[in-house]
Amino acid sequence: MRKSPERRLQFILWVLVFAIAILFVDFIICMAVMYKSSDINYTDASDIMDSLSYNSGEYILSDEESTQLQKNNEFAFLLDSTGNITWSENMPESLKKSKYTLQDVAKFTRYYLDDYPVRTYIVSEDRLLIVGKLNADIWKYTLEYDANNVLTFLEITPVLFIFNIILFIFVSIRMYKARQRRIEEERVEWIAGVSHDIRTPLAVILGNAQMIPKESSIDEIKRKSEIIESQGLRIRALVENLNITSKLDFGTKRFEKTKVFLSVLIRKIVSNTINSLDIDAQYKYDFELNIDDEMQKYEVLLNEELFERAVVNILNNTIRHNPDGCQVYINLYKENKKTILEIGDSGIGVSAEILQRLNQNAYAETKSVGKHGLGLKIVKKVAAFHRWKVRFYNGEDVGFVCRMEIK
Amino acid sequence: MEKKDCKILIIDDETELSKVLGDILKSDGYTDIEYADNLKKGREKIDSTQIHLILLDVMLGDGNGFDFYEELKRVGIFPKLPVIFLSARDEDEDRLHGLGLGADDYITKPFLPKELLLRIGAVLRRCYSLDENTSDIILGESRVSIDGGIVKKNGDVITLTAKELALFSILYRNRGRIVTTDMLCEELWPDGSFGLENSLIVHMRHLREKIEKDPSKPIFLKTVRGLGYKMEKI
Repeated sequence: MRKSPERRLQFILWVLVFAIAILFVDFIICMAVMYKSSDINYTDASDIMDSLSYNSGEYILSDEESTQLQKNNEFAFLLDSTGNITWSENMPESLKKSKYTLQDVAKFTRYYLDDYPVRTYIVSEDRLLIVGKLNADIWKYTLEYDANNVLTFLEITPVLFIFNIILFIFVSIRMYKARQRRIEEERVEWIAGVSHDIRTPLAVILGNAQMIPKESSIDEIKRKSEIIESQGLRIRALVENLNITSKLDFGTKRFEKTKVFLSVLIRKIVSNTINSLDIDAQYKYDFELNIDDEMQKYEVLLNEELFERAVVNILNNTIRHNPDGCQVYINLYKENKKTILEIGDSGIGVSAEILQRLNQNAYAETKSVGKHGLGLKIVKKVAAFHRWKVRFYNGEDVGFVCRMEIK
Repeated sequence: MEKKDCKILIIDDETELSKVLGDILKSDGYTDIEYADNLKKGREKIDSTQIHLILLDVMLGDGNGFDFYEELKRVGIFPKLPVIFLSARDEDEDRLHGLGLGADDYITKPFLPKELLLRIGAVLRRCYSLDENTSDIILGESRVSIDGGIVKKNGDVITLTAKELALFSILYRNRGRIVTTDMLCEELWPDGSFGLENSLIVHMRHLREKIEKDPSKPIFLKTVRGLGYKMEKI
């Protein structure tokens, strides 16, 4: 499953827009929460001062305001310039000191007055009004901030933003890939299941088809049973190719590589292919194996199953497209220190258009399953798996050639 | 022991497949074939009669062939009773699992009858020293007796050496099929066959001299250039 570049771009743009949107929403939510929660209510200082009347050397707070303070669980007092309490309301006994020093004032202005959170107001030139809460958990900090740092913060914002986007893209891609992988695994299992279910009836068909000629002497019946057999074998190859494609494309299965003698393996594969042909076909196709002497004991690290599939597919391709027979040659030799495996025939060859398509790098990924369909695609996939180069071309005069550069 | 004395038990829930398997076996000279479409019946057959080989499907209605194989191993029917797994799954792990348990072979469906018979024959030969051919094999003017290890040609009796006889037997069993030089060397020299291709050529030449009318133009024991040898189907 490869995505087209447009789809990829679309995906990235979508992620970008989404990231910005999320960041924006986050910001708004954060501000709202902070604004809402930072709302600590003290009784308004001006309200207190307004309801405070000075009468014959004594301050008197209106009843209304007094109950308000009670209700809010607050206390309030006035300090004069010498540090004496000139008025107090609702004040805890422990705070009723005869004199508040400058140090005391400095302390409670910033922090707490004996653990009570307080606010200090300058109500006139020689008086301070202090309003405190009797039982409340309030954190107080003195905020000091270098104004220049705001600039640094502004500088950091884009970095932060980009980091966010990268994180977002990374997470979503991971999730997307995990999902894709799960779907692909399911597909592999599904294909494996289907091919499993096809195998048993196919075994019955092939078995019976091969028994018919032994039980009948009528030529027409023999011929027809041979057709059933050869078509059954075609289905078998198809099922195997399908299975192997899905495993190569999406499978989690690892294809183990082992060291094998290339010449021995090729002889085995070619013999098996010839042996599976019927007698007539064995005479129609003339197989020629040319393995250089120095290649006889040449070992290669490869996956046998895949390699066999690739070679069988090339041979089957030749046989299917040249039903009247042809020469088939398999050459294994060294060229400029490279190992070359050439499988070619003297058959009808293929059109330039198909050749061009076959040699496209992306051919293995294209969707078309035409006449030169799955079989040669697997050849390309197998070559890609081993990191070998593979090329298809027409022979000088006749035929079709597949050339593999084996590492 | 001959093929007709071998009792083969086929355990497969696909009765059509069992039937065609039986037909294939009968066409090759086996006569005594038992069928079971589940493990329970298979167990009964094994308990009641002398079975020589089991063809065992891996996935059956009432259980798994691998488990059944282990069960048979536990009750001590082995080591003598050979089992060949027949499976519609070609996953390497399955194949290795089956063979790892100790099964004699693992054949994937769909199989070619020829291939199946060859592999069954190979297992039976290994376990029971099966005599596949007690009658003489007639190749033109030569009559070859694998039992006696001799060739009768134009009234002469020529003895085959051990290697020649082995070579002839392999080619005869695979008649109509190419056997690669690599395979022949491996069978002839199991302890290490590398570089013995030339010896093989010599043995082959001697074999032809004893059997063929004109050894330089063999009719029956053909060379398949670059691949190996083949005995023509007779």
